[in-house]
Amino acid sequence: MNISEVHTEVKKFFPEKISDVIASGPLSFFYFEPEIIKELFLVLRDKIGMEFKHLSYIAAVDNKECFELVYCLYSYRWGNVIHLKTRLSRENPIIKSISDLFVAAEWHEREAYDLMGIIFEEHPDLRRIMMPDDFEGHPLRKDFKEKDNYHGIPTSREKILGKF
Amino acid sequence: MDKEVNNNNSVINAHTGDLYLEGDNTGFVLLSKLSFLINLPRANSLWYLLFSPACCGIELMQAGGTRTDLDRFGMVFRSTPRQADVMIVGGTVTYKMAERVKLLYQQMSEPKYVISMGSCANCGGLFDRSYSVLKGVDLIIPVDIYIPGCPPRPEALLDGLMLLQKKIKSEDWGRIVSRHKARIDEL
Ligand code: SF4
Repeated sequence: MNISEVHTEVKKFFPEKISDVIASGPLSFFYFEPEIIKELFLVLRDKIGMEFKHLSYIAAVDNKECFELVYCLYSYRWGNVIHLKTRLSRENPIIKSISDLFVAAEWHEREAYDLMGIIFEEHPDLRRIMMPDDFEGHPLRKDFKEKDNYHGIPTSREKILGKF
Repeated sequence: MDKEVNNNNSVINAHTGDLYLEGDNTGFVLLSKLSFLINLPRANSLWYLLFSPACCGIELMQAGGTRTDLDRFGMVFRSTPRQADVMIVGGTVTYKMAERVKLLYQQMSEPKYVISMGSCANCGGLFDRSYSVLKGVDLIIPVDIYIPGCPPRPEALLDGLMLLQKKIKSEDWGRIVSRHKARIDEL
């Protein structure tokens, strides 16, 4: 099933909550409303004919007005890939975790939380995954400001180029 | 080397650099500076810590291989900081790792040396603008030798180690002891 077939199929389940297919270069995708994420992914994973059993990645994008989450699914049975996107507000970036549907989502969601500060509700273990536990802020946000020291270690170095 | 051998009485009288040798067939006396005698074995048994935070470590392993072969200089790796003389910081040090690097350095026994290998350890390298990478390992521990490169070739690392040997040979033993004391006072 390619993306437009998947789209017509899931449109029957959630007629209001899904945008049209947007084609941008080789990557086609559609937007869905964040509140239907659990039901949508259950349909995509288990409906005969789709069977997207594998979550390749979750990417989080900061496009200044809002956060965007990109989900990439792969079907071992039919050998095709689809991309889905959803938008979250900057003030309140909360979405349901899908780690009970796809175990792989657990670490991807921790990463999105760590670097972008997106909160995944019902996640079993939402901790930072790469930055130190006491790190302040989410470094991949566009408005992130680096502190001038971390535990007393300076975070910048005197530039010597141009001094001689 | 000046040499004077009298075959009748078998008297040897030789000196080279800091060494002075005198004797006959019943035995001989060796005269030298204490620093020279202490530094010679120190410089030729530099044990390095088996530790490397990132990709420069691959070149460090390569330097231990057959072509450059660190073993012939008496350099072997030690897996514990307690037995190591020199720490080769080969790679990107993140803030998370920086505290561990500092701890490893503090666990090494004096006299200890640090080689900063590669651009990342020297100044942050290509991660200069990063939010998580330390901009040079000399911000946390004192560094003796800097080796530029991304990564430095094994030959460059070997050159750095030989420079360190030269530095060790030129050291004064009394000064090393006082530096040791100063560091302990610092802690
Ligand atoms: S200097 Fe280059 S090779 Fe060495 S750790 Fe940094 S990026 Fe890797």
